[in-house]
Amino acid sequence: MNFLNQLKSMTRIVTDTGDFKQIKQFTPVDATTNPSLIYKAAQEQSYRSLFEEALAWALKKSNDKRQQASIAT
Amino acid sequence: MTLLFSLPQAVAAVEDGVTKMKLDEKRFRRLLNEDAMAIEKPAEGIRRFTADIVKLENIFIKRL
Repeated sequence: MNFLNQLKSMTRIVTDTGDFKQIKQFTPVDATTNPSLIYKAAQEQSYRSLFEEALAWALKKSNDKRQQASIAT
Repeated sequence: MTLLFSLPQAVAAVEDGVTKMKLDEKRFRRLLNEDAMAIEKPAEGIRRFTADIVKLENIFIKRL
């Protein structure tokens, strides 16, 4: 954490993650992610509610199962 | 053609003012093609992203 603070004094920290807890922990100036990171985060029990939220939203958007899965993703 | 430099090395050398090199499109493409980070790795990454999107969709499908 000390090294990170040292880095922060010299440059800007950005995170590349799907884990919101990490973004909170490292307080980056910017954040990015990718499908592999989202896939990993989606399986985490602590983000279960977001998974369900995406699913519920997708259910309202389409009647087709495949499409719902795609929309939720 | 003998490759004296990788593309990043070539760019650095030119920026240093140490080396002058003629970089036409043919040579640029050849040098770029030597760089795995510019050619293979992005394609590999995108293939993994695609696979992981499909995996995530399948998790949702199982729940539907």
